[in-house]
Amino acid sequence: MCDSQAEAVCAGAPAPPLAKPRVIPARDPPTLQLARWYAATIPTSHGGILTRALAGPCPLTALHHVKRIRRHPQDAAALQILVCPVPDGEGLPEGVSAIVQEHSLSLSEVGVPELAPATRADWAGWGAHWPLTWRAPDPQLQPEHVALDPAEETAMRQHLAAVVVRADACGANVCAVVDPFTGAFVDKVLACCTAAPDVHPLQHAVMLAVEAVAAGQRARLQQEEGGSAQDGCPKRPRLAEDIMLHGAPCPYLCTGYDVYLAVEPCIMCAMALVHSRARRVIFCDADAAGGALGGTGGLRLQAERSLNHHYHVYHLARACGHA
Amino acid sequence: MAPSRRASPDHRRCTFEAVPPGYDSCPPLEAGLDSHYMRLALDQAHKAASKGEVPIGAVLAAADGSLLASAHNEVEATGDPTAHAEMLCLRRAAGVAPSWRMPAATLYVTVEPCAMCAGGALAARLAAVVYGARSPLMGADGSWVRGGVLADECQRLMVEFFRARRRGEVRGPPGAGSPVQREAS
Repeated sequence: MCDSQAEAVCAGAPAPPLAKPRVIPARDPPTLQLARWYAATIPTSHGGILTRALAGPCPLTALHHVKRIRRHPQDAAALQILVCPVPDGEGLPEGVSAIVQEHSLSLSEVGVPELAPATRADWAGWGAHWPLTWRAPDPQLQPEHVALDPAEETAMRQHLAAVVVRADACGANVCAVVDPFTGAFVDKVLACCTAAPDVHPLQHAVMLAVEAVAAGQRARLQQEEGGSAQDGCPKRPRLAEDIMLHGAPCPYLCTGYDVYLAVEPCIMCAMALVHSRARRVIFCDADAAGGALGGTGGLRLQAERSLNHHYHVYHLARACGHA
Repeated sequence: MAPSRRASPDHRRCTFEAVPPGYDSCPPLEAGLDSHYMRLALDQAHKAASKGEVPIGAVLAAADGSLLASAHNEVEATGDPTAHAEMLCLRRAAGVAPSWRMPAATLYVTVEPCAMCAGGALAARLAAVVYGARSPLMGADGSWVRGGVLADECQRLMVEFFRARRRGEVRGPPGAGSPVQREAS
């Protein structure tokens, strides 16, 4: 740690200009890929019968978002029904070919969007190939969950600039844990890590910051309770992000806090922030070698669905012209 | 970590599985030695359970067989979500081992380490990590991690602990500074 040194060194250092915040989503939004399917033109009266008949041998299990039937583009009195995927080389599946023969269907090839659209605009556009049903996509991909209002973005820039200035002065990564409801540095958590052999390998900036937050909360809780050691623990709500608004001494771990980093965290630090229940992780420099949040397109811990917490990740690169 | 590992609802109900026989890709160096150290880790895990901590224990063994550190989960007592048994072992060993690089040391832990602890083990350049029960949701098993040592016993300890906690029979450590409630470490 080198808080006091950094304070002295970077007192007059100018803040580096930062690019616009870029959200690194857990998953990239789907792109339009067309699967080749056989469709048959049928009279409107046969729609129900054939839909039920085809549900057995060829259900649309992988294509939940696709409608089985559409009105024929050229003939208002006819329908088109999806029969089965275009087989590779061999003939039609047994159950399907029986239905095709029974109703003497003539098959033509159509393209069907393989992935469900993530936005209403995509849904409308992709629907030109084949009609799709609209389903609300993964909330993590919803723009309103990750969009910033101008005040938030300004605060984000200020906090990150302070962290970057400090990191440049120290020559090591810096982590700040920020309570966005008050806009102040929580417990003045600032830590630097260096890779010198006399420093412990686990003393990364994030680990020190998480430890420091825990120590601060421990002290505050003991103070609040006046040292009354009760039988067992007083319960704290686990997941309430608005807990600060209800006058509780502190949230569960880092719930609702934003974490600012000069350099993208490694897998150890990224997972420590999952354990800490951080709300957002914001970093400046991507780390191609060890970064775990997809700064350069590699590993993305926030995409791991099996974990019990997920934070949003923002990347504010240095604006052009600055190393 | 395995990016394709998906959690089904059933998976979520049983978080700690025993490793099926023949699962481990690297053969154990000495089976007897592995279970000896895993017993020591289990002792730590039992100690954690008695304090109301999530019952996971770890020991760090040097190449010559000496014990560099042993620890159990202390998340409840410290309120620090990074106070996992593995991390505490690595922190404590730094004061004992000649260098923070411990390329000959092996970490024994009763439950498959999470990505943080596996990352910590990488940062400390450990030779190997050996675990007991699998943790399909949180675990970060890779090729150099060896699993399945005393798996049933490690698993039973976790399952029984959480069953008791759901019934309200286990409470947090009395008088501890932090009142955190955790489901899994």
